[in-house]
Amino acid sequence: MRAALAAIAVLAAIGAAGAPRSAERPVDRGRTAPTMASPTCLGCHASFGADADVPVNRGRFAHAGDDRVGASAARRTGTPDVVIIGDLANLYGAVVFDHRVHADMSQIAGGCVNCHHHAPEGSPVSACRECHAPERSAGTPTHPSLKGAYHRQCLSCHRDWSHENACGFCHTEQAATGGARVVDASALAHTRFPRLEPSATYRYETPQAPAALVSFQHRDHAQSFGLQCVDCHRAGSCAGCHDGSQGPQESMHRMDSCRSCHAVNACGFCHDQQPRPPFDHAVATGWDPGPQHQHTPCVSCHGRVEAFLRPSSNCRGCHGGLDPQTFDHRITGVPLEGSHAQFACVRCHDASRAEAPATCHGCHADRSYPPQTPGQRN
Amino acid sequence: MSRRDFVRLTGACAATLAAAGVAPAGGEAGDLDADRRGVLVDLTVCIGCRRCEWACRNENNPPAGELHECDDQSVFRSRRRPTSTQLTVVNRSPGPAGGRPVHVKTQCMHCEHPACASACLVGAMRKTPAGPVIYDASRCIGCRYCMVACPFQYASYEYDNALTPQVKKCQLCGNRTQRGELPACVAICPVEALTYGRRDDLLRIAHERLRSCPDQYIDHVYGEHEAGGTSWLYLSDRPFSELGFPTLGSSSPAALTEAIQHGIFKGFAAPVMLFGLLGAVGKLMHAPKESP
Ligand code: SF4
Repeated sequence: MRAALAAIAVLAAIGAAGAPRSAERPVDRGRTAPTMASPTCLGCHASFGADADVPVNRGRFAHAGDDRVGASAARRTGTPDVVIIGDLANLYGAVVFDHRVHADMSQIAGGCVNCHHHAPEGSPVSACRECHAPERSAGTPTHPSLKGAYHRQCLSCHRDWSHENACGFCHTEQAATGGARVVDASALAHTRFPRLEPSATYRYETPQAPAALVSFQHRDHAQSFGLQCVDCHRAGSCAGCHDGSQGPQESMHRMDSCRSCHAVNACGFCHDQQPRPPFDHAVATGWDPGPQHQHTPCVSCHGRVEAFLRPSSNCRGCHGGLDPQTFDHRITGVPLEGSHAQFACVRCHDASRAEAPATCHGCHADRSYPPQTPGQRN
Repeated sequence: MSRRDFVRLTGACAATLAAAGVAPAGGEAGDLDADRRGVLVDLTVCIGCRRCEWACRNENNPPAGELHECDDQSVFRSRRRPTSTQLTVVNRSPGPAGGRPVHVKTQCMHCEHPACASACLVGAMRKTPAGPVIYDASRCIGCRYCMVACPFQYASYEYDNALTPQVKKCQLCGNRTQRGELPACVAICPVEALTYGRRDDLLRIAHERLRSCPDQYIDHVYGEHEAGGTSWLYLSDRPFSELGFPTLGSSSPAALTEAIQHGIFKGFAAPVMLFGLLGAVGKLMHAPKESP
């Protein structure tokens, strides 16, 4: 027992024992890039040449422009998805670090430079180990070792919002066998990190009597309108979103945040005497998006968020590019089987009237849609 | 002896005493190595993980238990002092609403001019020139004057040991540092809030930090002057008095008592003089009376 403890103590003392192996192993989780139109990476990341994969930090607004790609541009830049920081593990197992999630979130609170602190705007982003040596050096007592640097960097934010400093928050305690357990970060995401649950609607009392009430539909903006967090939340902090003990971000209460998209002068656009319900497409426009379009982001049909265009009422206005040969009808929630799978679209759909439901009467006098759907419904 | 002779004799004694120097000696800095060691604690970096407590137990009082037991935050409910089995403890001072709490690691401060060593009757507490104040159990008589004298109250006693109780305090991991290793607490600290090195270098580093990040710290290196200077030095972003640090002057508590004691006994002049005087007086008093 004593001997084992002594061994642990020696390990503890050595800290960053062992020669550096591949310190940070990027793991590609194989996510696909979003399909929204976006500028190419090279437009900003000039250094992403054929032989260069060094991202260049273009500052916090690099990915937050009107193109709405948000930090998702990082997904096409060659930055790693997940990094397993296991080089220094001794008392504890390796850390599975979800780089992509952090890269995305960092756009809200300062950008890459939040962590890559020696990568001021325009300079190459360097990995921690390029400056921080695995061993603590007596010669540079002010310069943290790699282990110290990792811990300071992560904890400087984590302890602020989670009020936690337990090692097990990021690490697995080293198994007796010595092998570090590698865990899929996505499986951890919502077990260790609180799920963000913003309210569907935020109501603000303003001094703008008599129409003092502003109902801000957060869920609509975040889910239906296709906005990224960074489109509104720009000068945030980790704690601002993750620390449940804090209220909504103060900066979000200001009217200019809304006006950056809604360039309208009519107060009634936002201010009202009554609380307003969330946006209902059927009530507001007379067209029910139905289950097929329920999760379609507004911009898919209406173009840019700032100035919504009225889309063509002809299905082909949006679905013109659809190839009936390759279209998988299952995504509509109505899988087609047998002869139905062979029909041309217009056999059931009136392609000139987007709001018209599919009909069965062309073939079946006794059937109607939607009460009777062909095939098996998912 | 005539009255004139008596006055002359006492005057000479007083002059000799004065010459022997009762002025405060101001400690014995001359005995310390120029590259004596210390530890700089940056309280703005410490996360209160208590791994230093574990490492200290593991070094001095094994078995130290499971590492994850350090994650128990309930210990922060009360302010703790080092004990005979836990030579360093971390305390938490709550931060301002919504702000970070501050964690303070406490242990023997290894004073430059330690009051404990001064108070020890038998020289069991000793300031080594290399920095640490070390305890020699073989000399200790168990009077615990050292514990009373300590301005920080950081030494403790093995009250539960009936036969061979010892005074327990941080020894700055002499065994480890002689092997070229860092003290156990410094080595384990995951955020490197603790820096071990030459005290002079640490002071330079501390002042550099204060200069380069004035918004991040209050302009004070605790231990630079407190109690005549200590080997452990602290940087903070909150006034030290709010964090449980005693407010101490810049002279060692031992300085005045030592100055008086050492002054009086320097070269054994005062006792010689006093007893010489008493002897002379006695002799004169008993001199056979001259017959008129
Ligand atoms: S190990 Fe370091 S960070 Fe943890 S409590 Fe001790 S001094 Fe603070």
